[in-house]
Amino acid sequence: MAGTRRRGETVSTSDSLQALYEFTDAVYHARSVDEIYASALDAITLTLRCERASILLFDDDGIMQFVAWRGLSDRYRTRLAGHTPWRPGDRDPPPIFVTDIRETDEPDWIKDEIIGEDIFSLGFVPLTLEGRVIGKFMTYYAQRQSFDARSRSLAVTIARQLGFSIGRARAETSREAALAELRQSEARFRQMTEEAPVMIWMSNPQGHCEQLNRVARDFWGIAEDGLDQFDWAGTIHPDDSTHVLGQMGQAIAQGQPVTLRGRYANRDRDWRLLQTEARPRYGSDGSFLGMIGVNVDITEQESIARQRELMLAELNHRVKNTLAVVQAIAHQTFKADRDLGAVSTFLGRLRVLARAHDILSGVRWESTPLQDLARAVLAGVPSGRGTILFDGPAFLLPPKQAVAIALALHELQTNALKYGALSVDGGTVSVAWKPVPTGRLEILWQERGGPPVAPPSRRGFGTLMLEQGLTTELNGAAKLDFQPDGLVCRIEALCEGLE
Amino acid sequence: MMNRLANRRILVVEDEFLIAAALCDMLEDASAIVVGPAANLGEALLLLQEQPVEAAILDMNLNGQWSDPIAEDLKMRRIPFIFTTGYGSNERSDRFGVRVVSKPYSWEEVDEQLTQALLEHASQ
Repeated sequence: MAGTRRRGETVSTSDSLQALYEFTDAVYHARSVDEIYASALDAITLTLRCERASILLFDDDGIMQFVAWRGLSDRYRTRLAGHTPWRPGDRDPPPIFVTDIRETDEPDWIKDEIIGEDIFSLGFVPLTLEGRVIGKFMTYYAQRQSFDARSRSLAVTIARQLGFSIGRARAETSREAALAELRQSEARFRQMTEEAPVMIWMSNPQGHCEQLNRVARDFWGIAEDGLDQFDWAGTIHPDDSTHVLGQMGQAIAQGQPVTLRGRYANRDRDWRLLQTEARPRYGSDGSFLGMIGVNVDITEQESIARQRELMLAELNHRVKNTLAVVQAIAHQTFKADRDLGAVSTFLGRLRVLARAHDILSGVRWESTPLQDLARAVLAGVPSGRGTILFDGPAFLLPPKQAVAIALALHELQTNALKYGALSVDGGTVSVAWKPVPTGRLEILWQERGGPPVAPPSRRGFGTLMLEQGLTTELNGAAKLDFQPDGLVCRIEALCEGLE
Repeated sequence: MMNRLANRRILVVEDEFLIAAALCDMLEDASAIVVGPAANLGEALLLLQEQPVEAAILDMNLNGQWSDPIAEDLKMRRIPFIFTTGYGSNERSDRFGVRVVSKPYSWEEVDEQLTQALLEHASQ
């Protein structure tokens, strides 16, 4: 920088360059925008030979505001804030240098304020960021000042540095804000995971536990920094170990999600049943990083479910026992009358009720496959007494309909055993069912190969059960047709098959 | 078919009095000789110790207790028997390898299963 000095200038070129250099260095090391402003004002006052200067920036509302200054009165700053030859975003305007404020077109009140502040000449130098005006710096002179080419280019150089530094400081500020936001969101997310009321864990690709949230650490009694020594596999119940490790190992090997249950010893060495849902997790490059999963302690749920099963089994047992007692009472009661035909009919019906009950309890009173029900009710045709053929699609019956249909089929079978196709060898009964549109089920009972058929002389309970019982129980109808070559019974029930 | 139960000594183990009475009636109608009925484990085991028994009808559950000890005893004595039960499960009949009739049962079912048990035993 030596050798460029020009004699006759109040401030030498080399001093200006030195000041510029120091400014550049200072803003580079500045830790705040205020330090940047202070260095800038130093450089401005020194290189542009003014005692007074200011820096102004557009605020969020686009108003030019003083952000740093030297030697200006409060009144002046208050009055002149917002006064600017440029609007926010103007593209790279040139600086404006005013040698004599009195010769400008500014309104009189502005001229008066400026003159009142003992200012004769002044410079407006735009500050730009990416080519757009963000503010300006001002230089003020009490004496007439002419602005030569050198001072103009110095002013523009300082302005460029200053604009660039402000931009960098702003970027830094928003980067820090973004980082703080990220840290906050990370902390929130960590807290969410940490405080979630289920166990959350992550494993490495080998299945070793890498992270446990608080509930999981509390379950096993692991300190926050004790994960390295933690061997979760060692806490599995010996009887569950094979299937838990096998399923988890397979999920890891195939990169597949897995759901499994197993008992684990908690910190108190109690066995707790955990249900685990785990998924593989992958890095941004697609590489397998391990598994992530949640464990839910379902020990209580399981025991409630088991108790319910036991209660249901017990209830079924008692109902069947009660039916057996009713049967025994009937046996004893009717024994004296020797009316054993009626007794055996009654007992037969009772047994069908029990069998339907049996099937219903097997499906927890939810829905009964029609084919299973029909086969169970119609089992027990003595050998040499004809055969029953079943034909129909899978169809699930609601419990009430199941009982009604069981009793109806039993009546038909009893009749067939006494008088119809099941009373002789070689007779057949075809039981066919199909769902028909509008939510109805049709069952067709067809006998063949029995003795010639004649309509019964009196309507017994069986006919009553069929024709009236079904009508009320099933919202349906049963039609008995005593055709000469075999009884045909068409049962129609309003009955949607269950899913 | 000839009546294979006639003059056989059949032990009845059933905790429900009415059911036991009906079962005894039916056995006597078939000319069998009823031993018991026993309503609990102790009675049944004592009867087995004190009286000759050729076959048994054993309720799987006696007042909430599984009748396994009686089944073991019958096995040990090589006495054929059948289970009666109000439970749906066949786990025990599988374990002991014996026939089971489900309550409420018909006399025909009991007769058939018990007769089969006796026949199988005779052929062993």
